[in-house]
Amino acid sequence: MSITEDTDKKTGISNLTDRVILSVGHAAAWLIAVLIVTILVQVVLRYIFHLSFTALEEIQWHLYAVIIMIGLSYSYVKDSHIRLDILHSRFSRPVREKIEIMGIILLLWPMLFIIFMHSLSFVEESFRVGERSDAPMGLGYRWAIKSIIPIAFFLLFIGSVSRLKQAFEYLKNKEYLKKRKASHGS
Amino acid sequence: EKKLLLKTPLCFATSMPVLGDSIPALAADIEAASNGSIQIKYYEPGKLIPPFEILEAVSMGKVNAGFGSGAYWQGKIPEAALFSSIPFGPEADEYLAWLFKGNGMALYQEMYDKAGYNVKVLPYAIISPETSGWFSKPINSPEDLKGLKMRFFGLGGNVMQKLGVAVSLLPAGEIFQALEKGVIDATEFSFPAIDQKLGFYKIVKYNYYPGWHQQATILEMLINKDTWNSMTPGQKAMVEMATKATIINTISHSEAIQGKAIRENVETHGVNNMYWSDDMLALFERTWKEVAQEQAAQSPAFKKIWDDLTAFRADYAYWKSLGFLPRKTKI
Amino acid sequence: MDHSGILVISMMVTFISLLFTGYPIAFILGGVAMLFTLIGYGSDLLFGTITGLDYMTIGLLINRLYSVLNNWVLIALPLFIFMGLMLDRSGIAEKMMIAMQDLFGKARGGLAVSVTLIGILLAASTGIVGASVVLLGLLSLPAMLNQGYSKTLAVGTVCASGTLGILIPPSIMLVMMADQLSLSVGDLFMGALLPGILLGILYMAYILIFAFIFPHAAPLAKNRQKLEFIMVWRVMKTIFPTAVLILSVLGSIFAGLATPTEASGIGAMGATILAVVNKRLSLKVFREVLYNTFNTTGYIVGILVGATCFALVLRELGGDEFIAGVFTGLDFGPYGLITTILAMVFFLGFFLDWIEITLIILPIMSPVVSALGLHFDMGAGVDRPELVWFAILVAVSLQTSFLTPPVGFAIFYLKGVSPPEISLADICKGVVPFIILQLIGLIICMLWPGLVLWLPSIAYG
Ligand code: NA
Ligand code: NA
Repeated sequence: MSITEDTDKKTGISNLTDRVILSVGHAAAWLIAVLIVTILVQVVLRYIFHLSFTALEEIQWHLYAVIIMIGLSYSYVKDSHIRLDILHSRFSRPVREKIEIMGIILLLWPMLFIIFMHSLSFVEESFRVGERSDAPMGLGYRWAIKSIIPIAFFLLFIGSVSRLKQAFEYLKNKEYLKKRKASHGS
Repeated sequence: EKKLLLKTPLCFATSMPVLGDSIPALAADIEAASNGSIQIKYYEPGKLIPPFEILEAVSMGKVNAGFGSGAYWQGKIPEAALFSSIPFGPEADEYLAWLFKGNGMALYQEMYDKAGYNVKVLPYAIISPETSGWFSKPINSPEDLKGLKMRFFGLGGNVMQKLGVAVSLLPAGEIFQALEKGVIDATEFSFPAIDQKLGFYKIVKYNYYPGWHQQATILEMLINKDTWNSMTPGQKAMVEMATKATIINTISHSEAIQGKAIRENVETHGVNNMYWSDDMLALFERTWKEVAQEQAAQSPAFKKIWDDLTAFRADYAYWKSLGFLPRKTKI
Repeated sequence: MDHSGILVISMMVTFISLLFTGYPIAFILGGVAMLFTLIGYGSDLLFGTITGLDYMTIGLLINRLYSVLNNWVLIALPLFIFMGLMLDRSGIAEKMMIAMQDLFGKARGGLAVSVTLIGILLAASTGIVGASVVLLGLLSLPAMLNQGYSKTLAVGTVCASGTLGILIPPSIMLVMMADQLSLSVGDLFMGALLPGILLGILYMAYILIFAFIFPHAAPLAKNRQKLEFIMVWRVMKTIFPTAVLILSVLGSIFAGLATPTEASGIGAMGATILAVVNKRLSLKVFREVLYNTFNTTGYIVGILVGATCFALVLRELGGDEFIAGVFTGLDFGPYGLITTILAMVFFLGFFLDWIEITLIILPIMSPVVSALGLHFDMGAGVDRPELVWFAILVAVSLQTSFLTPPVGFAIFYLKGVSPPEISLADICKGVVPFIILQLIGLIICMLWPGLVLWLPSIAYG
């Protein structure tokens, strides 16, 4: 079940961040089409006109890099990252929400924090020395493509904040309903 | 004495002759000579990080040392290629003369300092000429080069590109397959003993000499500057001595094994050893001079090193023309 | 056991226990890595271990991550997935599978056998297991389930057949092994070909025998017609465009007309054109295919990212030394030693991916194997035949790492595209027989080195 199809009422902010991530993802998904076209252009140039351009080949892995990195946060919001579902499907909803909260805080966030912080200095280094391709006829501005790493992991972070918020909302509502039920019962 | 563990990623597998197999010996030398106060723990390429990332990781202090080659950092420091190998450039003895008794070493260290990399550089190897490529048919004229799809590395690649070759830069492991499938028509890679291991002779039978693009290649050890500064004078001297000793080890090893490899290529694998015609060599050299001028025009740092080397080589050329016997090529 | 051994084992145990929470595997891999970075750091301070893990060291992750981005081989991944999804969404895959049911539905297990055959074809053209498994899963899983195949047989067939890609050349795994061992890629490619085909044959034999013994696991097509000429013609007409597409993509790589990346681009384009011809392409369909490709690529890469974190930290905790230590002081004779190494490779395959395992095992073990002084009658003209043979044995064992849970990449890839009624547990159960088949294949290659060495010795003569 994907979060966006979740019937639970979502708070405004969660809705907004998820929508941002989905829109960014949908835009990035079109890069797959661009990648296909780029490859076809290369094939035509090489096999019909006997031309080859290193820059064109490098554009391909640049596009691929953006696709896979932005894909991380998109799959997250779509809840399609693979889980071991042996027990998970048998847990009650509140247990699953609690696992989600613990997972985000103890597992996901430390990983995001470390990757994000180090990726900033990684990009900065590349920018400082004006890094370009190692190939003589390759592309410049390596920092630009490297900066997809912090961008992607930041998107993943705001996705996780939104998910965390939903989990807390759910548990709070549940608690509230339980209390109300209890008070009605008495 | 203070104990030091150098975590050191490699850019050549230790199974590779000279480039890689010199490193376990170097590590053992340093460990023994320092009575165990310095230990080198080396990691095969890709085990910690891929080779092209080594400079950055050492400079940032993610690891405290690493092995590499200037040509690997061309994207970050264009002039670094000059400290790896140079088309129509110096042979091993001349290169070493410039490095250790000319301004070479000072310029080498200055290059990293100026580019803002926090590393101490120590050359640890210089190796024999490479072959200038494996082709499926003889190349007799500039026309034969046009439209050829070839794998080529470094500054020589710019030269080939100018001559109408479609140059690509495949990693070592992908060359054979690309050659076999006809994705590329020709390739250069390394000196004969290593080319032989990769098995290019199984597919293409024309091996060209001399390796105009790479007459000698320097490899380097990088140590994080903070780590270097924290070492005792004795430890520093130990590492410098060991890397210098490894230069003798590598050049003698690589000079010792090529003849046998070349002979095997011809006698058991049916390879044709070819030697570029004077016209072709002149063409490569002319084109290289254009490329070098373009590079120097683009970058003052490149120009400074290039000018110093050129001045050194002018004097050396006079000596070389008188001091040595003329060479005869056996083809 | 020393401190570092304790750390290594507790890292693995922590990972496995957390898997059962059902939190995404990618993030458990990454998160456990971070947790044990902290533990390693603390252990250095408190117990005097020398893991060297700290904030700076863990920064190596970025350099490793960047090499995932900067990987030319993987560019084909989203494109092959696109091709599969487009064939699926445009109704072409379904048509083709119905046609195949008409043809093969007569024979028990025929459909699964044809899936294996397509898997071998895919394997011989690319080597991207993720793409192969996703493609096969999309094309054949619905058809098999539709015909009433047992879930486990269907998913096991898809996973195992998709995994053949890493063994049958071209194969990035063999390329890396050749690199690490300084062997000729050509010798390894030729050496892996017969073992790869042998595995394919073992799968097919198993499927047919299993279907014969348990008919309900692989039922015949329901509305089965007699095989008449007119029907064959109809089937041919349906299959033809798709078959031409797939064969031309695979063929162009095989014949060297195109690189795998180029071929994947052409394949993606071709599938789109087929959808147009089939009058099923609309902007909506195209967009859905793009979004789904994007989503699928996202979770595959998530696992790659998590795995690279996990492997780095495990290594820094002393995992390599721990594993190397297992081999010191063993005296089993040559075959005993090789068996031990292969058993270790198989065991590590449960937790690590093939890249990490080759990096641990090959550098420490290849000198040892070279020194055993093995001699083969086969393999004249092959450089260092004993190492080629050893490398292929390792490659065959490594293939199982894609199938062995908890870290079995083929299992994850398939889960992402299979219908909801199939759980990860089903897939894990489904692959078990195929893992056993692979071990049988491995033993055959051990007993008959000629199976590995014969082709390389004649191929380039
Ligand atoms: Na393959
Ligand atoms: Na596994």
